Amino acid sequence: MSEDIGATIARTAATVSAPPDLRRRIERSRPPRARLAATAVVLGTVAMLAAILVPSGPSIEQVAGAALNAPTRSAPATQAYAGGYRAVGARTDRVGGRRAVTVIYRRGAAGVHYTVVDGEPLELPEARRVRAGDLRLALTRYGDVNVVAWQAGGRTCVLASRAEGLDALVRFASTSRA
Amino acid sequence: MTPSGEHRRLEPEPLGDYVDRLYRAAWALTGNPHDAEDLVQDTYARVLARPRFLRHDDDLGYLLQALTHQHSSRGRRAGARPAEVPLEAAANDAGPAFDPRRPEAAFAVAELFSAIAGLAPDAREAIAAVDVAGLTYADAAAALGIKEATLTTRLHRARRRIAELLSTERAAL
Repeated sequence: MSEDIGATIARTAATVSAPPDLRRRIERSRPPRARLAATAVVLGTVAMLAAILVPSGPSIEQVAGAALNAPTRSAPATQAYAGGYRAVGARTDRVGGRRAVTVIYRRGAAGVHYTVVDGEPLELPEARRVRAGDLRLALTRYGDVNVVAWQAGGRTCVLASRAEGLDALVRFASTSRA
Repeated sequence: MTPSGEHRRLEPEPLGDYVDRLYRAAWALTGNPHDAEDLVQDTYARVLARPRFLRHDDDLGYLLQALTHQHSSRGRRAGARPAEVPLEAAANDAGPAFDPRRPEAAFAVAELFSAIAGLAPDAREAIAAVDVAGLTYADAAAALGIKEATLTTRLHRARRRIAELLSTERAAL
């Protein structure tokens, strides 16, 4: 049983990546020779990727589509409220091979589905861009679904709603710690 | 140990490969991602400040050892080690739940790391080394300066406590 708990802890912890900004700060603190070597490795990797450039991961539209499905479990207690909305449930999907965790919020009849997608940041749609504090939001519509997406902490965040307009989603995304 | 049993120089180039694992361990030790960032940065700055010579091949173990020492020093400088608080209080201290600028803090990860940070220091370090940073039992025991059997005992107790804490949290939903 102890090993099972340890494995569960390891799996959960493994979903966390260090913020890109922390990597940059550490990189700057390394000796010059190490930085040169790292730069060479990065340039080599970029060249290799450029040669075999294949988009990976789901589209934002696919993520929003999965997020709009009904919740399958209770919302985490630590995510109970956001921007005047109350969390009513959560779900976890695999979309395009990525783990996407969604918390569903409601205010009255209006629902907002907030999803965080694991792994490398996804390509944001060609769409209107809005700055909200230090976030750079992409605003778009897929049919009757309003979608706001952004990248933060090395991950991709997506808000999707049929009832709420883009302005309301931007306000939701702008919610920060008091 | 190196094949010849001699010291070898710690090469800075590969150390960047361990940032993710160090960051996870730091979050588990401190209980929040902001302090974790500071702790990891301080640890790297300290390790890279001058040449280091190791007898072991385990660079990650060395970094984790430096991380735990740095964390302990910070606790002492702050006047005491971090207070042990119940899981519920730790979760509430995280402030309003939703922060779109910190999606990495979302969902089960925040609950888990808060629970680990609320453990006693010995248990917290054992879990951070093995389950969070991914060291083997032998490497973790060496990094923490304890016997492997001691580490195993601490791990069993710590994992049981984590399971209890998280079960209590979920039952309260």
